[in-house]
Amino acid sequence: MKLLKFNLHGKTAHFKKPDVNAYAYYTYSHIHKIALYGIIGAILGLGGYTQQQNKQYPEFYDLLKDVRVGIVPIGKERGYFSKKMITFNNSVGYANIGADKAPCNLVVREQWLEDVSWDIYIALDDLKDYELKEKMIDYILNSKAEFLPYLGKNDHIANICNTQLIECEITEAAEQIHSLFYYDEIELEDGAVDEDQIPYLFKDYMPVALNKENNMYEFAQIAFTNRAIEDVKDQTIILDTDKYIALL
Amino acid sequence: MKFKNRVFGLVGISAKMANWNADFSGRPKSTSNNEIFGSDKAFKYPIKYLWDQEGEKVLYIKSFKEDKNGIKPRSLKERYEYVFDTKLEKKKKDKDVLKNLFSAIDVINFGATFAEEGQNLSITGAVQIGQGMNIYTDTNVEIQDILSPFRNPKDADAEASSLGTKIVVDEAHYLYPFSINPYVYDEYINIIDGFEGYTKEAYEKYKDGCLRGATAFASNSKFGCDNAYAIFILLKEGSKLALPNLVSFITLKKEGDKVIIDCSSLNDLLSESILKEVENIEIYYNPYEVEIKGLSINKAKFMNIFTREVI
Repeated sequence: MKLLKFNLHGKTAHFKKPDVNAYAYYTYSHIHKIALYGIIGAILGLGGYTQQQNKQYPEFYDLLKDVRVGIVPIGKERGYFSKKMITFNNSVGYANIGADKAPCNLVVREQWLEDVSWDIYIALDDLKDYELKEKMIDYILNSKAEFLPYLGKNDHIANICNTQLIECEITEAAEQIHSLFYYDEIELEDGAVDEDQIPYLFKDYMPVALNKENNMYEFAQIAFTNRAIEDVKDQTIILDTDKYIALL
Repeated sequence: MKFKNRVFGLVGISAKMANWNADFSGRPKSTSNNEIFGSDKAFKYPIKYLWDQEGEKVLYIKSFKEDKNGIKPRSLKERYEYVFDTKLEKKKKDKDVLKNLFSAIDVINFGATFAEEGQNLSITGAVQIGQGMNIYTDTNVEIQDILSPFRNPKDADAEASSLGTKIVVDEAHYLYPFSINPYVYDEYINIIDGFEGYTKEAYEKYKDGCLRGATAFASNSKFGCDNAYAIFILLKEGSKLALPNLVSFITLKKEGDKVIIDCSSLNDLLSESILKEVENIEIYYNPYEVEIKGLSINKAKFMNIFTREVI
């Protein structure tokens, strides 16, 4: 199958978890599908939540939701980027009301990911809209963008490099998976592929879809591991030279 | 006049015995591996302050009003009504509110989030600013004790006046990446009468802020923070090119008292195919303290950051 492959990296990132909005804003440990669609949508100039009005989905999601993606964390053992709680003030006086009903300072605490880098695969065959597909290939290969992409919030600049078009085979069997994958779809052995390594398993609930009724995130367990694979159930896996990539 | 060029750039801010942007422990903000950085807010504030001082309309800045309970900051609604000299009403069309918002110099540059009186507006700014990482490797954080003139009132036995601390860096060089996408407001052009999107005037004022904002701003902790250099890569009209974060293409070292900015990696980025899309490259710097090296591109013009004259 044909895929678009590129590296997405940045100094800092913040993909907000919407389920907590008291005291601090937390971030997902990795870029998730919806955020990735958003970045691609921005590059292609598709409408976002602001332009959605009464439509069922924002335009970027509507057009890209069937496109499977592969996400490979780069350069970090165990697929874990370091995080730090960053605190800043919003002192204009509009953001917060104190106990005496007077405007006051808002202290914002935000968890940031640091030095993030992922290799991203986009399954072009899933995109039925021919013109959009051609535009995506043109824009990403020639580093063009309608709107400049960022990693979750606009103070985290996104860099896209090493863009290429590749052909990959779908494989039925894999001994190891080098990307994030659906935890429920894969049966793992206990030991690591490389017997000298200590096995690790990273698991997190991450957004994989928007629901029809109110566009809230729908979650699935996403994992990353160096453990050997017992059985690949329904998870589509492709082989890129020597790496096995699961498509989400 | 409508502005049609995308701009990518860098602004370098030097801090000497100063604290450009502190976290809540009073030390310079840092990442988990102790790299010092400054936030985009710290960068915008002196620029907004400068505009405000020079009589521009600035909406998102703290201001005070007096009522029967004393002095307090204005709320967003009060600030809006004060700046635009109008009443914000529930039934008033979004259009007029948008028009007013865009007439403020900080909104047309940095965007706005406006949630008042049933008007829910969120405008993504044309100018986007990243984190300003410190690219100087020998930075030390200095903590000094300072004496206050007063006794601690809570301690009845206190015999002496209390102590405080002042935290500064001996020297740091923050580098902020930014990008300007002038087309972001195009969806509003047909909605607001007489609105033409991001304007050349707004860009010129932002550029001026990048060259003067930090130098002009002198608070106790920011005195000693100066605009050292700035690079503006202006693309041709209508170009859709997206450049990566430029910070990683710059290295800084010191030779004696001179700061040497090495831009040789930029030559690789600005290949022939990319240069085709570039209108011009302007580099402003402080020639008394900074030297720019390694840029071998004919389109680049070098200017004095104070006088704006070509060097």
